[in-house]
Amino acid sequence: MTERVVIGRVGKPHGLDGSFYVERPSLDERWWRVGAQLVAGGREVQVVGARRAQSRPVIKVDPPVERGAVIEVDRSALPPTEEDEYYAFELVGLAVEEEDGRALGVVESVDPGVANDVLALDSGILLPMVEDCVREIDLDARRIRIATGFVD
Amino acid sequence: MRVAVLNDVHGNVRALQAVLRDVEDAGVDAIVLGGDTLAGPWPAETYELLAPLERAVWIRGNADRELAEEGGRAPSELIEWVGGRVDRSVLEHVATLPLTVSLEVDGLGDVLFCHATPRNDTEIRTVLSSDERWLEVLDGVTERTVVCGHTHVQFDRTISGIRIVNAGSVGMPYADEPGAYWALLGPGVELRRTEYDTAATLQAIEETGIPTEWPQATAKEASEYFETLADD
Repeated sequence: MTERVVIGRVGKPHGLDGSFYVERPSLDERWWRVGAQLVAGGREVQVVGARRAQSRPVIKVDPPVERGAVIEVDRSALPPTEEDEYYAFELVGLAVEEEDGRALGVVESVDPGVANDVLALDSGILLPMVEDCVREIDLDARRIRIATGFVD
Repeated sequence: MRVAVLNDVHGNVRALQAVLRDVEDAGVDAIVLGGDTLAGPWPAETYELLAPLERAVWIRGNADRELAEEGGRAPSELIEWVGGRVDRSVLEHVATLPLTVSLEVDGLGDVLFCHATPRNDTEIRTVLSSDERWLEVLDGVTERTVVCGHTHVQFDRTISGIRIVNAGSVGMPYADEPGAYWALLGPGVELRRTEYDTAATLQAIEETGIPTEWPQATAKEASEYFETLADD
């Protein structure tokens, strides 16, 4: 089965023609352009209208989908990452621990910040995505090691 | 005769009330309702205001038709919401209105009125569309003036001797100035804008709970967006 990546969700309708806001949209603008091939609610759809309203993407897809449907793309459609480069979705679910082994929690989301992205853990801990803090990301072992001293 | 063209009212009864006052002052023989008259926040109130008008000439728009259809393009929650606010018999009636109407207008001769194009109620042509794309949809038209709506952007353009007028939208215009847009025909073509309290109306629309964002855009933004859409 093809691995898929969530890039947004079908939000509030916009106008009367079937257009809708994309909730929690991927920052990768090429998904929100006419012609883009997406999977919405488990079905393949094509973007047939694309604009922005209130700085958020508003799209229309064919065939139409219901509000709340998850919007995805095939993992293979994403450009490959460089060394030490990760997609946010790859980090979600990884266990986070300090270098001395103390468990801090599991990554719930990666949120864009002003100076750097922020790892938000299920334990409520927020960690800056900077080299001084994040020492090692091991996707195979599903673990992130953090320098000691960032968490009390 | 002199004709007022009120297109794309979209159930915005407040905009409609304001325009009808100006139409009354203009003294017309007919009021063409160019489609998508009811689909919006106040469908029943809009119908009640228009139904008694003996001078009204109704034609069909895609959004009103889709309200009565299964599997239309409009989101199902929106169809249910609007459908719950107006009699089913009204929706079925507007879905079967004619696609076009031709009237003889002072100074203009025979004028063809349609919602989107003379051949269907959904396809999109704008002020930016090429002459070729316009001539394709005007094939077989004998009138020298064609009045349309659908894209909610007012314009007046002549292609190969055929004058194409988009009357704009009464209830949901894409325009640079707030207001309700319409057109007055006879003896010339007058593109009109009626001012009303748009800010209070937008607020009131939201308070109806209609499950959609009321779209807003400038004429340029909307025209450019429509040109990116593929043909239906």
